[in-house]
Amino acid sequence: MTVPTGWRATQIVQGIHNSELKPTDVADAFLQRIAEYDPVIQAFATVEPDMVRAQARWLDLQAERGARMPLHGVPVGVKDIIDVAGLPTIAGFEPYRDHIADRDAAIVASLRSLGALILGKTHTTQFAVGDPAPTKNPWNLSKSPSGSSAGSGAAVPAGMAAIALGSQTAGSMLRPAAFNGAVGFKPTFGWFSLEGVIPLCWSLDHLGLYGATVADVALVYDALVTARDEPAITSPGRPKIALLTEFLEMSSPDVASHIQHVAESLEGAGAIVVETTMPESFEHVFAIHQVIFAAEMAAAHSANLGRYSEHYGPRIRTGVEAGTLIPAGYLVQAQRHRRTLSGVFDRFLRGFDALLLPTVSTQACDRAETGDRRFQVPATLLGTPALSLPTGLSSEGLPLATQLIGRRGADRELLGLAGWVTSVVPLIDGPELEKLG
Amino acid sequence: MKLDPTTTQAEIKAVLRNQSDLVYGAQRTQELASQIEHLSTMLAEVIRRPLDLTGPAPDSSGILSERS
Repeated sequence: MTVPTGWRATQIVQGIHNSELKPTDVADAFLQRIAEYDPVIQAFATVEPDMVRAQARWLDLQAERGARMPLHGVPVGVKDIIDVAGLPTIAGFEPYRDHIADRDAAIVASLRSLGALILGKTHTTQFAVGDPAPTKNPWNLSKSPSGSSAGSGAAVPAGMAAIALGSQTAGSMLRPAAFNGAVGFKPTFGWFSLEGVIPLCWSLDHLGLYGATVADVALVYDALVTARDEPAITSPGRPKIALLTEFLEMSSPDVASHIQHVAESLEGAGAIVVETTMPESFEHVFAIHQVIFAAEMAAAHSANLGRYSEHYGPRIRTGVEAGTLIPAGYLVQAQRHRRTLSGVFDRFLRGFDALLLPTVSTQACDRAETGDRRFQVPATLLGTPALSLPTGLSSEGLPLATQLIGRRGADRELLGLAGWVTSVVPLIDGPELEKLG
Repeated sequence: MKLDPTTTQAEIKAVLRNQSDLVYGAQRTQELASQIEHLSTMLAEVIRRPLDLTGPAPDSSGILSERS
């Protein structure tokens, strides 16, 4: 059977479980799509077609023997800071081009054991910081795919992967989701193991998932965290949602009016939407993140920077050097404030099913930048689950995105709410790559 | 560097610049000027708020491990 372009993870699993589709069909279709469009989009850093086909043949064999795996045949792109056995983990850093991983990162091993088909490694900004990756935005090649998870964020809307792994230390999961028009999900801090992942900031690094729909992301999340004590993914009755108005004031008119429209639509569908602000000033939240980020990044990279300074990009280099100047007492104060904030936000979030705000203050920016990270920082700092949903298009035809933030540990509830939101405000269709020229 | 809520952004920036001069030299400090400006603003915001000294001991994450 031929796999149509844009097939979703849920459709692929269903097709294989019903014996209507073989994993080798899926591998061939996605490899063909990559061969056709990746020379332009440059979402992938490394793809080894023979390795992909060998995995697919093994998955075929499992299906022929009657095995029905939860993610059977789901093609996954992996951000290139996450180890995949047999492939290099380059991280956008030339000296690592020959660093071949001898084992899978924990999350990749889990995905394989669940039947996923690992397609290859997707481009990242260098070490997941701010120097842009070579990837182009599939909606407009002159626009940024954002970062740091640029390749993963672009691969899914471009139909080159059904699911992709990314990471977020400031805004690197959700912002590429917004700019490229993917669903992006950053779970609660610590939910996904970071074993086998190049660290940036140990207390801020999260892994996350990109998919074309909430159902696809929920399928993979559910499979990965089956043992966790969380309520099942359900649709909420009459959700209570906090619309954070300070973020509308900081947004472009296109973005602000879109989020207002989303809020009104949800209210019209039965949600209780409360206009409010965060329980602490945005400036305070952002400052705490920035101090911890800079100090931890300096700790992670100073030695390597000393050894390979000529290979470091200008943004990560200045960030690391400035981070080394932070006095210890200030870092401890930031950590103490973070702990206090965590409790304040936990109490605030208990009053709502989710917080509603734009994912980013603008549509996709030009390629020299990766975009405004401010709006994604609160969920990163506080370790709460957050989703970005591509819910609209700007007047320039670029994706606009809605962000939902949930209670820490209530990831499934947030996914359930997101499913309901997309039943009210439909997700946009993907880009038409054929028109890119 | 002083560590109290009255410390100003200008004072913090001056200390960071001096430290950068020592570690990276005057030319690189000039190149780091916008980063030092940003960082000193962030540090001033962090130090401006008094700490709650009665809470649990600092840890490396600041995030409570139990479900909210």
